[in-house]
Amino acid sequence: MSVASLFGFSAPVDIKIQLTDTEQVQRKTFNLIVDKSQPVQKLPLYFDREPVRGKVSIKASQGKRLEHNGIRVECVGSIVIFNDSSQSKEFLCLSQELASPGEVLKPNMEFEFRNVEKQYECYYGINVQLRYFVRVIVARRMGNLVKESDILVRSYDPPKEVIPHSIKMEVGIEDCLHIEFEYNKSTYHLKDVIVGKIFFLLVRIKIKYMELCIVRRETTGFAPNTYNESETVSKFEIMDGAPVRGEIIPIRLFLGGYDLTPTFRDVNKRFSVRYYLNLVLYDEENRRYYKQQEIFLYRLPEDDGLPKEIQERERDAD
Amino acid sequence: MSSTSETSSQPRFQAFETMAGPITREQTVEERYGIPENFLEIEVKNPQTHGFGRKMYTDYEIVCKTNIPAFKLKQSSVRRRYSDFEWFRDVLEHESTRVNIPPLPGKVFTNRFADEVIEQRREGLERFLQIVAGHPLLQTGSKVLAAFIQDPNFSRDTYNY
Repeated sequence: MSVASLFGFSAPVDIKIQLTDTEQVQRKTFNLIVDKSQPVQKLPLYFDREPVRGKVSIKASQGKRLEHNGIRVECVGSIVIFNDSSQSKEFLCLSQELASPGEVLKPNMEFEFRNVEKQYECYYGINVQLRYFVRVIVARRMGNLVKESDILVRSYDPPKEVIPHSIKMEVGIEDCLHIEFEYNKSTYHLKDVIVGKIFFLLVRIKIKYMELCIVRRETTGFAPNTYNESETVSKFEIMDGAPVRGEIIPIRLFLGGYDLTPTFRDVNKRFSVRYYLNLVLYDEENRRYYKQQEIFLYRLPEDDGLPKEIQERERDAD
Repeated sequence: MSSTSETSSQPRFQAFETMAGPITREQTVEERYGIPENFLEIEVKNPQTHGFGRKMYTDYEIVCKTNIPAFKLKQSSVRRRYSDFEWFRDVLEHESTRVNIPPLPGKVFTNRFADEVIEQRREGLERFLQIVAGHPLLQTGSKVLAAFIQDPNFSRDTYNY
């Protein structure tokens, strides 16, 4: 029920946006939570430079006439920073007029945006949201009517590092706890496995258990005023009980089971999303000993059930 | 059990032994089955009331058994009273800004020498010492921790702040 109708100004108007598939490919869809207050949405996947086409239907209830000051449709890419709206930006906004001021006569209006640039991956985070969507605006004297329909964009860029390497480090508290941890890679794709081990060199504290956590950190803003939001994506207990010197604890952590995104660095110079492995040990008095290590995540086309040749196809589409 | 699949997205099985070469530090039998290096037992026991009249007071035995090098003695037994603990806690708080020092059992004004009161206090002091003695930053950073727990010739003057 719209606010306008609460005040008895006008009857509710139903605006529907229907996106049409392209001819060549069966479009993949993904079920995602875009807005936490709303149920899961089924979003169609679009690639860079692909056209975005569809139909808009506007119906006033009970066959009433709908007068307006113009109808336009937009293809928008937007970054919203929740704690500081001055940092938000619509970095992409393609606009098309559907109808000039007057009355809504046609039930369906078609639109087409060609060669739409989609260089960033969609991200629905705690303090940041990057969305691509089609927006219909019906301009009216007493307040515009707006309807949006999201599309999904993902990036399958290969990781920047050329030479993969493992992470191996000795850490600890002098004379109390020395461990050496090792993870087989520093860069993982989203359905990869983290294989590693923890080696205990010195254990003078009474350890109760040890867990490995995946932490996501969102960063917005510019130094020195950066704002961080951290979230523990998962906790995985890898050891229960007290180890002694010389003990080796194996790690095998499948990333596919968790809600992860690729590492994002300075997207549109507005936000970053980075991932860390946090190795945490607890002693008998619940004191925490931890070591955080950044890992770099990337998305493989196969992770989304797409063929490996996706990169070539995107280039051919130009 | 290695994967024969061609697709690169299937995680390839990697045995732990293949990671970064052979293990150069094998665990010795002594390490595996011997006494662990974190052996530390602290007890507060045997409350005894001394003196009479206004000068009556109760003190407690602190028994410590350990193999942690921060404590000079493998076994020790000393006697301390509540006011000693209060001073000790104060010093610990001044020594370290980063560590949260747990509270002592509360002050008692009436019935100070009743059995239940003494027992409650004994339990609280024991709990306090166990937390504090096992703290890695205090073990290595505090000048007063080991001495308070183990030194029979302990004197506050040496550590005055």
